[in-house]
Amino acid sequence: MKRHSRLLIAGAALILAGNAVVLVGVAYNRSGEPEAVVELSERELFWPYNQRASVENSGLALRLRWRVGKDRQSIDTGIVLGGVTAPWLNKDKLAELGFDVSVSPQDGSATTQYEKTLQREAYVVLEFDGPAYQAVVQQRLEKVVDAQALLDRNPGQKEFIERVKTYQAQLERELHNHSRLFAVDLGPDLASLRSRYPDRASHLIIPGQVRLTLRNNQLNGYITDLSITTVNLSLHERLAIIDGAPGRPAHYSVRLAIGKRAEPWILEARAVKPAL
Amino acid sequence: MATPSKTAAQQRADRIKAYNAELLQLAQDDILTLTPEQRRAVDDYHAALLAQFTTTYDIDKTQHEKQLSWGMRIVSFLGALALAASVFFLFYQFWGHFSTTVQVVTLISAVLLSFVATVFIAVKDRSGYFARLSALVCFVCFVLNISMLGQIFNIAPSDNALILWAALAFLLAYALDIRLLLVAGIACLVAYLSARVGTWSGMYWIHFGERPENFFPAAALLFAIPHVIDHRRYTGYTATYHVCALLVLFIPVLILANYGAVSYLKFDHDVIEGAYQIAGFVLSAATIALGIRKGWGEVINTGTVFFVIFLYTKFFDWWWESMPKYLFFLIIGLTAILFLLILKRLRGYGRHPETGAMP
Repeated sequence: MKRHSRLLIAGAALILAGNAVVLVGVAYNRSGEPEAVVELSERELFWPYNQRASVENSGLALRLRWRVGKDRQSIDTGIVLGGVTAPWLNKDKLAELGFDVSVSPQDGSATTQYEKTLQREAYVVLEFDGPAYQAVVQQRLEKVVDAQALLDRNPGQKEFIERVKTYQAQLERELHNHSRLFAVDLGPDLASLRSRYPDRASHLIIPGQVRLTLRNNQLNGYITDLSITTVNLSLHERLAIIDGAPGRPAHYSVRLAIGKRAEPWILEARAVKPAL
Repeated sequence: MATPSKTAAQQRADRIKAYNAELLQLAQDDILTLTPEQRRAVDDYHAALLAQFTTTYDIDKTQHEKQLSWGMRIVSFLGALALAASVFFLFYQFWGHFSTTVQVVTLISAVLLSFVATVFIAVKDRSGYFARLSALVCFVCFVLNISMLGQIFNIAPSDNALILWAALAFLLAYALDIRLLLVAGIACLVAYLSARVGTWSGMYWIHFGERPENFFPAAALLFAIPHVIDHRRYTGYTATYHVCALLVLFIPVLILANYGAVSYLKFDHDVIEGAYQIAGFVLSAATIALGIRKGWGEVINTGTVFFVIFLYTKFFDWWWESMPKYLFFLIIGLTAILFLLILKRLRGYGRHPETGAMP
């Protein structure tokens, strides 16, 4: 009986201590001033479509959507699929992250050296509705203007009519659907990144993973994913977003905070009535 | 007499049964017959011992009971898996309807209640099957507890959860003599150690499985544990550590012997594969030799299995494409016969030449 009493105490202490460690970590993350606070919409925090899964899983997490400028796939589709590179993710940036890039890409041993390199963790700077997004909008707008000019010179031509429609649809998606969060930088240290991007209302810094590849005798870095890809929605927040309306909510706003451990949480969530 | 574990008690009961059967045979062959006093003294002693074991552990006294016990173990394991899955899906089904506070309280309460229930059942249940079932459910609840807290609070994935899970698994395994939870604890510990080793190279911890060499330090530690910490009270635990350690060693070596691209080493892939193939043969042969020297049957068997696997994969690499299939499988069969002959010889190694007894 004494043995079982000791077991009871030891087990209960272990379970409570384990939970305490986790919860104290959460409290620490949320203590003091948030590292960043940004107001995002359904475009950046996506409500999942998967209705079948919701029968077995009543929980809900919003998926974080982000893009990289000049990456054709994420610009066109609005999301990053399977890793993304960027012009600024060059050899110097990779060296800053701790990758060994001393072997020249043209060297015979470069393939063996670099194919063995595994992913490293880094902090990714996500810019919200900033110059990177505006550049993409401008690009879309210019395409519409150019296509319209071509149509004006070739009136009634089906090919040019379709082209204008396509570019207008792309511009519409860019203005109303696609994420305005763009990865613009990354680094090994949160504090130094924050000193480079001091605006906490427009720049989120979240951990992610980076890998290195050698292609066409050139070293490239890829952001393979963020460490946190979803943000849990509590019952209270879900009800606030749904606001009594049936089905999947179309428009909502979420004030997202990032804490000391670069872990996010929702400060406020609400439904948004679309502008008429 | 020190209280043995249930496994040790069962082994003692089996030896008593074998002893009685052999004594009967010796009497029938007119080799040895105990005097009535001697017989009575031994029988009384064994009867008291078996009664104590039956009261304390509900051991199997007959072959019929033994066979049923195996069935009960299997049912207990499947029942535990099913209950654990039920708890898992139950929580997922309803957690979205609860506030965050209720979710956290439910998660922690589920683990604590299942743990208290496990201890209570262990006190009442002499057979241990229900305690085992409850302990498995408790472990799954704890895994669910920590991983769900991570989801609720958007915590970045961390390998520290593995150490927590390993701690509870080991606690339950050692306290209640549940080898399945010992294996679960070992699995969590191996994953944690391998992830830590992987991060030494700067790698993000979650990718530790991409470099099989990360598992080697964990294999060495596992093998050493039962020799550093006394495990004589825990029947079968030393063998479990040995087998797990060898699996954690040989499976990565086997992978590297066939796929050098995933090695840390920066050499030509063929060179890496060749080196690990040689290492595989040498290590498995050394394992067999060690097992024979120390009398560790499980080490001999595991070493033998992997030696054969390494050999057959080499045969496959050399001859599968170039040789007629009937000839290929004939060689495999003949190699198996050769192994049988070698193992038979090794089995007799060290026996007394006249009596056949082992030293």
